[in-house]
Amino acid sequence: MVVMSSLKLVSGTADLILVVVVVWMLQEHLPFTWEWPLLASLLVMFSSALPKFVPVFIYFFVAGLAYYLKKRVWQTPLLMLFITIGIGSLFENVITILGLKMYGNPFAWDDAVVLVAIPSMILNFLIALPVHGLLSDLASWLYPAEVE
Amino acid sequence: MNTSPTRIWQPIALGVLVIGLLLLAISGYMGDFFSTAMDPFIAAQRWFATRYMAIYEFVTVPRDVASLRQRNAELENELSRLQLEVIQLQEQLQEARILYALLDFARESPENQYMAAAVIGRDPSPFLQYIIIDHGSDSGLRHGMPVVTQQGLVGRVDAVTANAARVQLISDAASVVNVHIQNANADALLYGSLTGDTTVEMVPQSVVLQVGDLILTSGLGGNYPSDIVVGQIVNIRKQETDLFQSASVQTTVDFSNLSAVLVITNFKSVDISPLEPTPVQ
Repeated sequence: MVVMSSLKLVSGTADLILVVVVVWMLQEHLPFTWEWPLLASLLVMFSSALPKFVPVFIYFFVAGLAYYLKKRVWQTPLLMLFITIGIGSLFENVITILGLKMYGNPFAWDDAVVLVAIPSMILNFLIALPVHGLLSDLASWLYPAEVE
Repeated sequence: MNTSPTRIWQPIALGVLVIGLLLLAISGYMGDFFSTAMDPFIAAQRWFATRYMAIYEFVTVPRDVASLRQRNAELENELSRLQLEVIQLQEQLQEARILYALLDFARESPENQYMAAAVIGRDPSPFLQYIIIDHGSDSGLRHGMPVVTQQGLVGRVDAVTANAARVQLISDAASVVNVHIQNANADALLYGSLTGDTTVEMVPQSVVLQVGDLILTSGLGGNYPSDIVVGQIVNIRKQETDLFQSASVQTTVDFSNLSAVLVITNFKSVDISPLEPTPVQ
């Protein structure tokens, strides 16, 4: 997480936790587990100064979205991955900006979008494929598909 | 028993010959002769020696290769261990240098009590500029305590747990610090931003700002002690139509490379919000 935070594009950074949650939820044969988004939310809640509800909203939303898309769309895991990362990153940035504004943070909207939100989304897309490769291998190793 | 003259002269002649040869050899006149005479022997010796060494190496090299490989592996292990040790020592040296610098700074300001803390994390959100340090309420840290390094102001403690604390940097978008521009002798406000850049705002138009002017904390507002170095002005923005002028500030602390900080533990921030005037309904 620290390494990903140091990897900056303009002022945006990739959200490795979000990408991991999305990729894990998109794995075939794996049921929806609320523990992972809860763990991610707790991790960010304790380490970040974001309003407490923001990480809970973000990680449960992306986990639910990924699981929903997995049930509705077949045989296009990469397309699903990028759609979920895109929508999830957009939701994350919108909720974060709204949450910080609600708590009186005085930054400019256009700066938040141009300098942070869009670069962060691009970085999330960039790390999505490597994370997908790693976690797919891990998932198939931990939960091997049953041979009929 | 008669001794023939030939028998007497033989050893004498032989001795003279030997002494003569020795004198000639010592004086160097026999060098060419000896080299010519010894050449066949030396050539034969060389021929035998090279053959002997070839046979010896043929017999013994496999054993040598095995021992050399083992020795090579041992030396490589030793090299790896020493390289690791060098890296660890360099890190310790770097840490010691930072701590010595912090200690020097603390000695220069004996009126303050300091608690040294290591930076153990950063806020994962790109919208926020916070760091996490390894001391908390168990070490006496409280909300609002100022955080500095030997280079200048870092921020203030925002949240505390038993063993850790979160520090809001002065470069955070929600941070506002009352500052004093030393050369211009004027007070202003230092704002952070989403990108981590800092600017001084609310500087009256009558104040003459110059690039390089030093920015210090003013102590106004009760959030920070006075006279802590913050940074220098690097770019001035002044328009005749505006009420105030502003300037970009280069902070003296490099927030991206913070590894250790000092928390001023005997400073109590003052909450002046009850004294602020409220709009009349």
